[in-house]
Amino acid sequence: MKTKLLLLCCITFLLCGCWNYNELNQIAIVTALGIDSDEESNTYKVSAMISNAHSTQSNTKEGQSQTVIIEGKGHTISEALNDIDLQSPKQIYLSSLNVIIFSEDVAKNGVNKIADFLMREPESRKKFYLLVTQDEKASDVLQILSPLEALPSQNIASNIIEATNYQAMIADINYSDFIRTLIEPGKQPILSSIKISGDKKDGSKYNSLEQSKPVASIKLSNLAIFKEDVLQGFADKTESEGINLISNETKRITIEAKCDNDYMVAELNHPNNTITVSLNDNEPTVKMTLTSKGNITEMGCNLDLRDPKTIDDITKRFEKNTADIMNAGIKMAQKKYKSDILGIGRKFQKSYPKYFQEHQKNWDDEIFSKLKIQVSVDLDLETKGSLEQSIRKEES
Amino acid sequence: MHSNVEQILKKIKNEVGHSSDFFSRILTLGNKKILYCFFESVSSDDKISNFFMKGITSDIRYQEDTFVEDLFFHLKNTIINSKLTLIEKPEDIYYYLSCGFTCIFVEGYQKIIAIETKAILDRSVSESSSEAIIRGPKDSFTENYMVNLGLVRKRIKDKQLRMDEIKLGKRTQTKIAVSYIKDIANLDHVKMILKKLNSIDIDGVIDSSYLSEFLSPNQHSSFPKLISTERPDLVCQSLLNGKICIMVENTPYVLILPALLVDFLHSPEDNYQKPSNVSFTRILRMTAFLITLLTPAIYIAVTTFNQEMIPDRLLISLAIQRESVPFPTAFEVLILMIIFEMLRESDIRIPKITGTAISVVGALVLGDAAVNAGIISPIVVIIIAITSICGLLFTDVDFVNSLRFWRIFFVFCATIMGIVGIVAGGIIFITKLASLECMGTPYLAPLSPFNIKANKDAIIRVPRNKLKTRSIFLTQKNNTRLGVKHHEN
Repeated sequence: MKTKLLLLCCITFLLCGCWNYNELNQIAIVTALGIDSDEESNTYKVSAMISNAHSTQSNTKEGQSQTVIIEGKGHTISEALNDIDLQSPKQIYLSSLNVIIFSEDVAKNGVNKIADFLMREPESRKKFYLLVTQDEKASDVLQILSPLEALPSQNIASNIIEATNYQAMIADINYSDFIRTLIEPGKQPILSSIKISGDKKDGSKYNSLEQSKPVASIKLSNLAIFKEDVLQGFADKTESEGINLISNETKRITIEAKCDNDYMVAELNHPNNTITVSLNDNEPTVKMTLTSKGNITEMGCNLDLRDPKTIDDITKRFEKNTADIMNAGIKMAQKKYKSDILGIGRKFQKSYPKYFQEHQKNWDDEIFSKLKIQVSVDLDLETKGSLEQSIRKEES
Repeated sequence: MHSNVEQILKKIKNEVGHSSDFFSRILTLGNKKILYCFFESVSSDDKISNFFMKGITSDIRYQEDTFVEDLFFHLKNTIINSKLTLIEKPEDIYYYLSCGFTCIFVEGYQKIIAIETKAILDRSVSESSSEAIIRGPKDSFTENYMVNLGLVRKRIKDKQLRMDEIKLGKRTQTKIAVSYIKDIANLDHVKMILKKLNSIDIDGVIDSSYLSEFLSPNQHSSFPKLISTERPDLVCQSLLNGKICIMVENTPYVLILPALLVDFLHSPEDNYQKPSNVSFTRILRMTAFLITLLTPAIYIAVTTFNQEMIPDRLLISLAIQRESVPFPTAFEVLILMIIFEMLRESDIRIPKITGTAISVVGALVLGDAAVNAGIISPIVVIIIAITSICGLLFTDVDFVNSLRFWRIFFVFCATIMGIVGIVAGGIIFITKLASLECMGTPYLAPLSPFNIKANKDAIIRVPRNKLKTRSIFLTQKNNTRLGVKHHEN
């Protein structure tokens, strides 16, 4: 009996066959996709970066790869990918996707179709980054090689991860975050954008890597503001920082303030913004309170930092400038794009669900854009760095 | 039996087929003819001449009707350090002769005197070669039965230590001692083992492993159910835990029953080191157990079915390494596994002098040339190397071989179904292990059925002052290991 059962188990394995069997050298590992649109034929042009091409250079080590970019066209993403598959001797494999780059045109026409395809695709990992190019073609961005990273797609991905830690204007938004904000009401999605600095043409050649100064490099840029799935436009640097400060995406930000004729700089670490909403007689009001600890990183003026009064004064100036940054972001979202990227709607949905439901349809255009938002900043400048005074004072 | 010594001699010579090592001589003592004979090959010349000088040649008076008895008592009184017996049955003399006894026939008498004049044919006690340890006793069992018993006896000076002896093998007449501590071990188990041993009707027992096949008859399971060791300290540890040991003449390997899975993850050295270090080492062995079992299977599964489980950079690196390899991954892994097993086998059998040639061929041809030639990918070499290194952590040959069996089983599962196959194979593996039992003890004890007290010395080892009782899976009586005296201090 026992043996029969065991045999039965074995047979079930055999009956399953080799479902989903793929040898590693039969797949083309796509690490990045660039999606452009072709205006004339109204088709998508998809560029797939395949990373496991064998290096042609004889002196490279085992395991080093060269990337190949294959372009396909089609009315739908699936068709374009099929087109790529026809050009590739190996099966297109999407699980290791790191980055998807939309061109501005594609994003302006709405990304729903693409998002839908990627969500349905069972193989894809849903943790890749989405980026929008500013003024560039997505395929051009993919082609830029970096001497610091072996794989261009990894170059972009690690750039984002690193930048979110130290740069205030970049938001760490991956695909599933994007989809969540897209689906849930009360918040509009944002994405980071990407640019090429330098010469695009030479930057895609492998021999350009032999120079110590890269011919071209990719550069993360300002936030792209969406309304539903349609790109509205781009924020500038200050506005991007403001948005990220409000939505608590910032881990570190440097704030400048004027003093006398020069500048002083403070660094805020882990600023925390709390949004409180209230409804009085159908009149919605929003209060934002940002609290943060910070330290002075640069001091250009001749101030006595040992004096508590001076510190108070400096703190006030920094608080004002921080509030200005936030206000710039708010103004941009409310007036320029009328898109609730701050997630105020979601706050109302939680606190006043009936009110939100009533106004959900015209929330962005009529309610959000006219909201009164109060911003207050509470800074605590803890340390002055390794110096007590400005360096000129220390000398004397 | 004839009473004429010449006829006796002739008969014996016929029976042993005029063996070249058979020696006999006829003397006259008083008015009696005396025949003495022995096998030169197993007897010591010194002892024989010694005994003749002291015994037979000395001048004593013999009564006519009790001549043999008188001679026997005389010899018994003069030769104190040797065994003497009176043989009643004439057919027994061949066993005694083979054991190195000298047999004395006196004309006209039925009884035969046998004096032990055994030559030492065994090597001396040396360091264990197959179970090396760093800290702990260095001696190991030899082929000498009495030395082996002695190595145990000198460690456990308890009157309750029993060594029940039986003889097995129609032709080899091999002595077998079933050893246990009477007031600790489960006597039902002892009885069962003795009964099983007595029921064996075999022509010869050359090594203890002959018995192991009879003692664990359920050979469907590839996991060994008894430990065979050449370390006396391990035997004594096991005896104190309530296990039963079987020592076989002419074998340096002693069998220990019952053996559980955790026993193979232990080393006798575990009792000589700091408990925290031992726990770490044991967890390491446990990890190695899983690694050596599963690594090739997991490699096949993730590279041919579930590539999404591999981090991106590694995946790309693996894909490029595999680029030029013409074989399927499973085939590649299997080939290298088989080649490694052959290498291991040849390494054991080969004379030490040519050993270096093998390692050069193994390291260069397999490790480097095969990769450069594009027959196998470097990562597969790494996988097989990790697998085999982890397999080397275990000393028991049967255990290592069973690991090999299950490893191939898992590779098979992974080749057909990927990770799902490994999970299914794992279910079969654990079911199989859990269904095993050794003399009524579940094979996975004390992990399943779980017992917290027995677990103090299973995967981890607690300090000795906390280790108060023996595992209840081995013995129910006299369970206290650590007395009250300790608590008073």
